[in-house]
Amino acid sequence: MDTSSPAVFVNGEILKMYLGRRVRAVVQVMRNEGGVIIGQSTDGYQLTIKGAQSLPLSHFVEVIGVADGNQSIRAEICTDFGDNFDTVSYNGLCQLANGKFKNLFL
Amino acid sequence: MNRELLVKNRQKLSRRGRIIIILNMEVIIPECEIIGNPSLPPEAEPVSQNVSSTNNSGSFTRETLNGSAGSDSNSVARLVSKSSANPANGAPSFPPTIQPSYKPPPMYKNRGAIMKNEAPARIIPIAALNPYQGRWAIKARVTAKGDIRRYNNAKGDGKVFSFDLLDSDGGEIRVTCFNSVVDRFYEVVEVGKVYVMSKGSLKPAKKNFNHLNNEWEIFLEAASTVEPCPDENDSIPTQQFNFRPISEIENAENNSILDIIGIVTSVNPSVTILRKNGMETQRRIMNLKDESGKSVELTLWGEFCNKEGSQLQEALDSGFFPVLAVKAGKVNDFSGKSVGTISSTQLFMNPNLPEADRLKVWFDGGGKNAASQSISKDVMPAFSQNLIRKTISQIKDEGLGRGERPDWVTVKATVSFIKADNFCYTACPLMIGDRQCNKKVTKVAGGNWCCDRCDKEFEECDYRYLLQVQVQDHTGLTWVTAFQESGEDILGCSAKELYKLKYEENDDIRFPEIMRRSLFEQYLFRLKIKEELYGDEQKVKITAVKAEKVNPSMESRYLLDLIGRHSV
Repeated sequence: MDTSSPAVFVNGEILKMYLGRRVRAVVQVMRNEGGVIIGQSTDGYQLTIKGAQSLPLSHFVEVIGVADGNQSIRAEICTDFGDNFDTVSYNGLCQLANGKFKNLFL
Repeated sequence: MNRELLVKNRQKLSRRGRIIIILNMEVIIPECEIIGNPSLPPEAEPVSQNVSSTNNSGSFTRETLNGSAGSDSNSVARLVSKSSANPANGAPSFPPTIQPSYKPPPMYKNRGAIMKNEAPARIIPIAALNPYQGRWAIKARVTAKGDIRRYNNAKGDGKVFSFDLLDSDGGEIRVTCFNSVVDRFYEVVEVGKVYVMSKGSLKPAKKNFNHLNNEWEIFLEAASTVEPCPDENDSIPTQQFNFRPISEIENAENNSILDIIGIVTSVNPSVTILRKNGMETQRRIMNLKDESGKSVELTLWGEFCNKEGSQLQEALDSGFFPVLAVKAGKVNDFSGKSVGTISSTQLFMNPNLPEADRLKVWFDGGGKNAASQSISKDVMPAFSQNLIRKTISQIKDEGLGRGERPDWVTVKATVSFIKADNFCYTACPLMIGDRQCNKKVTKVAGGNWCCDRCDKEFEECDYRYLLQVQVQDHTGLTWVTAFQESGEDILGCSAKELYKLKYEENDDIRFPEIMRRSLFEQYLFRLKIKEELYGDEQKVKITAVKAEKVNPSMESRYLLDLIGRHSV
């Protein structure tokens, strides 16, 4: 497993803490605009995913890339997670991974 | 008037003089001349004047109890003699003055005129009624009327009926009539009409049957009055509800009574149910949904199935989703939480209430398609049930199963091995009531199967799982026995199918495949743990009653909750 540049689990609120860093987030596709996906993060923020191919609306997609704005990510890898995803659990994970249990994560 | 008195008793009290205390008097001659030469003691004069003056002023401050205690004025005739100033003839003449009969002082209310006994009592709110009230009258609308119930007890045959009242302040009370009183009022009282009622007795309400918000109940008697009030229209509502959102029912106590309102989303057909007393009754289940995001099962019993049940069914068949208001439904916690009708329940389809309008607007505006979680199913997310979660090592470390009663726990574990031999047993397929016998059957000469319990022979037997399964989690390893349901959950096919596969078709490919693919699946096992005697050894026996494949989403939420609770 390549641990050279780990991606931090983020949601809309946590994203701004990691500007310039590699992050991963799951967003729900709201709009496709030619190479850009507008998605809703698991905590209800609207995020702009640049450099992503079009994906079906209301599907969940995991984006791994660099945070290049308070509400945008420059995507490197996009994975379609389908339309059945538990955002509540993911959001809980983001909060724990950046809070109390940060030391458990790379 | 002169009266001759017969003194019945007298006592000599004081050495200074003779004092006579008259304990009893009986008039033997109504009119008589003065006998002898009586004279008054010197102090009598001023005293007698005082007595006579105070008698008439009525300045008593204590109240006399009226109403059921009986308010007849106690007349006590008192004879006080006044010495006349100038006797006309030589002999002193004493025209004794009879004081007026003792009347109890008039009963004063806080405000208003002094009431006489004959005037109608003032109307008071139902909430103010109590047994010590004295005379009262209430004006209320009948919200419910029960049937006449006949009974037989040690005193003989009797009949009784009750009806509920609601007044303009929202107070409610139940009224009950027995025997002859039933005849007087049963036809008079109609649901929806307003009456003025007075002269009933107040007693504590029987909370088992009376679910109204009042600690008292009225019992009508011979002297009671119930007058119809035809001109009363709007000040008293026709019915009073205290609706709870369906989401609150989840936390309601079993057997509690409440009012609910919701949109009927489905109606099942009536089924005939055999009751414990041998009588048959109808049961009908329907689903109610409201804006709280939860839905609940409503069970109709008896008459409700045919009457309201059919009406609701018709509405749904025509494509309408009616609003249903339930007054006095009973909470049942047999499977999740559901609500059922009782004898005093009332159902109102599409009632004219603001809550009903609100529901309709919500439903038509999108509520129809909104997801709704049923509180009446047993399948609730693991974390919201109060199920005890244990790890495998805890079973041994905590000595589970050693107590008097078996321990029931939930364990998340992975199947690591299933014994392929003797995975099932031959079971009796005959029905005992509504359950299958399932006792182990033996083969007899001739090829048939024989069941000892049912005492019958038959050709085909049933096959039921008796799986020995090894399960593991991060703390340890143990063996559990899985019977029919959990066996099917784990292997994904019935015991009969598997038996055929192995022993009749001798399928060496499919059988091992089924066994293999069941391994290394993670389940939430519901375990029953009990120590039992095997020969002369105490062994802890673990039975898997249920094996549920772990749902990642629900399990994640459970873990999130667990983490939150543990790390404060």
